[in-house]
Amino acid sequence: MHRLAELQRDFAASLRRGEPAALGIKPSPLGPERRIAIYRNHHRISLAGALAANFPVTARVVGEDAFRTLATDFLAAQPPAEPRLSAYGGGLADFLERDGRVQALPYLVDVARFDWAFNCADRAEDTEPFGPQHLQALDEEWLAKLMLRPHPSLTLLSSPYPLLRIRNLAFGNGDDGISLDTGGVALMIWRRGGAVSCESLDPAAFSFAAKLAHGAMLGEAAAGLDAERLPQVLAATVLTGAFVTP
Amino acid sequence: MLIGIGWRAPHHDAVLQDLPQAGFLEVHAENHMGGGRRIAMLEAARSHYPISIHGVGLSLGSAEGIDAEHLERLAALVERIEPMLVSEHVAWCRQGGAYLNDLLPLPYTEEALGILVANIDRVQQRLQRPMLMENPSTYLEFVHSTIPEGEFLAEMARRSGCRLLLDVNNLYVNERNHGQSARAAMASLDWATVDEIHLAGHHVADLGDATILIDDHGSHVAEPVWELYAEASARFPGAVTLIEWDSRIPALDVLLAEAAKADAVRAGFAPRRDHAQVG
Repeated sequence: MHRLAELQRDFAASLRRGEPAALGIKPSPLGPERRIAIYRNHHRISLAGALAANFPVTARVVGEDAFRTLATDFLAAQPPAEPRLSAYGGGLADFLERDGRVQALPYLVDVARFDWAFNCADRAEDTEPFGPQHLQALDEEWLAKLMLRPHPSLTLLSSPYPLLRIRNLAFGNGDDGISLDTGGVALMIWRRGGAVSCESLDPAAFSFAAKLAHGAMLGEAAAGLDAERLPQVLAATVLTGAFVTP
Repeated sequence: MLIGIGWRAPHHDAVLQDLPQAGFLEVHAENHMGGGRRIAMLEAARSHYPISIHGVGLSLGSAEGIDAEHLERLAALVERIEPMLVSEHVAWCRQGGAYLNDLLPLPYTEEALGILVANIDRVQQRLQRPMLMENPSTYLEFVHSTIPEGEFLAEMARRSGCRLLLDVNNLYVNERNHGQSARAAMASLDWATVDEIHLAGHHVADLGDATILIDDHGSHVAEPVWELYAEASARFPGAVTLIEWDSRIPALDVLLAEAAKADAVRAGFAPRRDHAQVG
């Protein structure tokens, strides 16, 4: 007789790898193999579907069938570690980077990072952001020493590929065709007022935000910026709700 | 009305705007862990309706025990929402630390019962409240199961102090899939332990040489399930009822009409067959 731990190990292996298992399934006209196949199909289809939901642009770019194949392979390599389906797929971009099949689409890895940034922004924990009222309380000396953390929803994503145009093309909005050398993006993706925002930053503002997010003091992050640009850069970054006080 | 409806994304705006009559809203726990719009919408709904939190991911039947991090996520959600009910399943979905995204069947053995009761006990200790446990729909049985399903559920409730969520559609699905008697299972249960009843549609899959019922929550409640529900309502008068409709989600008024039908059946006005909507 199976001990439960052994039964669950063998059952899970049969779902994941399709191994015919001696699970002690009661004989019936339908047969054990077709009965376990109901569970196996649901396992594969539902989790590939969860990935497609979490990576909508990636799935559109490669097409439904190709994405399902990639998702099934990813599922075998990195099954979900927890039951929140929205949290599944954090390793997909790195998985695609190592996968020879998608090298014809060099931008796909960054498209997957772009999707994941939206997903994270949508469901990250709620935290009170740093705002103008905090800034007003600081004099110039303290302002230079200010250290902030990125809001849990924030991703700073730079790419040599035109990700916004690729997204629009994938969903049939506007762009009829794009050349991949039309310039990259430097994006700030986070949740503002409950909704996910995606804003393009110029190189100086992106560099400032990235330094700040990596723990630099505000004065250090702003070194090299023109003094007259600082208010504009602050307005586009730390005053958008994308950072929190430590 | 004691009939609740599932809180599903396509209906969020309409429910919050129109505030239709419903006994409560039931949400999937795992869809509301974290921040952002989903929890904000649920907090808005919570000021208008009692909330029932229905988990699918704790894997209470796992021999390897339950995931402490996931239990903490559930505890945080329960603390934030203060639901009227918290429920989970007599099933397992986790093995080797990986999540399998299904409610997988347990053998009904003394060993499995002991593991299940220990895991339920841990969750109830953490949440400081009894939880409801739902009978599963299954597509296979194990030869080494020794305890009939109804007796297994009753003993689980007796040993753990948990309450029961009786899914009448699951009873019917299992009756058709395995020849288990749904009525015998109901008769095994102490009437005072059943706090909630689930009603849902199922899919009849024709496999050529055989038929199997799949519990997909994607259609109207089937006529034989309404008949079982009428009996369950009489047998378990303290239970509230939920209409579950999770795939091919219909317009809100269709869902509310199904809830109104449940309310009529419950009140003893069984629908005439020629008026019944059968999925």
